[in-house]
Amino acid sequence: MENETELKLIFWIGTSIMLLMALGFLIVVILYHKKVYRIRQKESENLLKTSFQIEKRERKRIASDLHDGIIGDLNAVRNYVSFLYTKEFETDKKSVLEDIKSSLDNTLVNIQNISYNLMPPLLDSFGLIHTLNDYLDRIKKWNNIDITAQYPVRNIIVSDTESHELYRIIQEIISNMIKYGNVSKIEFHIEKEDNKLKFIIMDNGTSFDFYTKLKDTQGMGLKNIISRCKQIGAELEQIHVVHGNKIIISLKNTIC
Amino acid sequence: MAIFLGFIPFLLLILNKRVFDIKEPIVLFSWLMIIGSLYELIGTDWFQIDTKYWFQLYSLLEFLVLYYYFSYKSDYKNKNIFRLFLILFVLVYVVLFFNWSESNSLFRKAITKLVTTSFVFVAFGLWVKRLFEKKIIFDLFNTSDFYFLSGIIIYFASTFITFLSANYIYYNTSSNLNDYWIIIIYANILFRILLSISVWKMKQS
Repeated sequence: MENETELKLIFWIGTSIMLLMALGFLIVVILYHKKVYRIRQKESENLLKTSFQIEKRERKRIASDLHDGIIGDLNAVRNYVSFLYTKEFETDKKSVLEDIKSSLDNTLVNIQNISYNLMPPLLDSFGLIHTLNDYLDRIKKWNNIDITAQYPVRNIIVSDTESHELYRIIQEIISNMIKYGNVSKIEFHIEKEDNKLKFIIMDNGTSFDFYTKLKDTQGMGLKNIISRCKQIGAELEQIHVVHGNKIIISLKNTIC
Repeated sequence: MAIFLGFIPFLLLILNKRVFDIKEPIVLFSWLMIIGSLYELIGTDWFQIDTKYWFQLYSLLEFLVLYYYFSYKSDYKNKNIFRLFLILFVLVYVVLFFNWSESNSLFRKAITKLVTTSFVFVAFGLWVKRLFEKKIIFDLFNTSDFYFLSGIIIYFASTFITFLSANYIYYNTSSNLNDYWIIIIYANILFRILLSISVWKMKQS
């Protein structure tokens, strides 16, 4: 009888030790995993930050190469063609030269647009609001869309990185609205609320759920918007409206 | 209760439309679980068939499913370690099979459990090692494997001593084996719940 009590005791102690060892091992795995998870997340955030910085630098370089190099050369070619045109008297040749000039003009406009899209020159010199205003004017002209832009808060102070990322975010949202939303009207305005700066974009196009699309999409556009928001600590919120879409980008800790 | 919990993983597989998705090793374990539960319900409870035959077959199927699971999850790396356990298990199983007798069922169970438990602990250690070697780390609580492996580890750790000492308790003491066997029932309940969560998470991942 005494032996059996001992056996029971040994049995339960042994089983408890085995169970505690398994649970302890699982807890160690969970805690260590959490730590590694945090480190890897930090690493990927840093990697993202670096890749955005490299992207910005490269965009600037390519835009400047296009603007100062190719556009300059094409302008020189255009001047030669104009000079030849004035010296030419044969109608056939004049017509060919005119075609060449017209093609060169189109190419120049295209390259200027590419250069502008890569890195708007106003962003560094005149700041975010001027650049956004200029961008919306261009969009209005190119796409025949009614765009209303209001800037009740004009004097905003944001860092270079913030203004660059905000510009790219707003550009991506608006180009998506035009590309997929079948819009005819876009409203844009900036508001200040407490310590937050809010960039509000509204359209009258096809309604969509940003975060559902984000989950389903294979493309990079929407994912880049979120990555850029994360990069500058901004939040993207979608307010559901009866017609169209309303998206708010809030930037915290900004001195207005 | 434990028997009915054995049906849940399979029902979830039906719900997820992945009953025959045998590429996912957890599906095979769910199959094994429902076959075991059906045997216990129909064979043992209704027709009073001895559990010895099922014990013998279950040990083999359990090892094979776990072997497939861990080999698959390790991308068939650490082949030598896994093969060593497979050879050891087959040897032990064959020897015990040819020494079959009505009275040594619990002894056979203890020996095969010893090999399977050792295999599970080693393979789990290798899985953890690989988990931290990966460049991309997923949230553990959202992965199906984590629940399955937690269930497996807890089940094998908590039942190890019971299986090992069952033969001795049954033949050498006047104690009721059921007093000890209760731990296996509780471990089974917990494992079946975790397997059900694992099958459910499989859908999400």
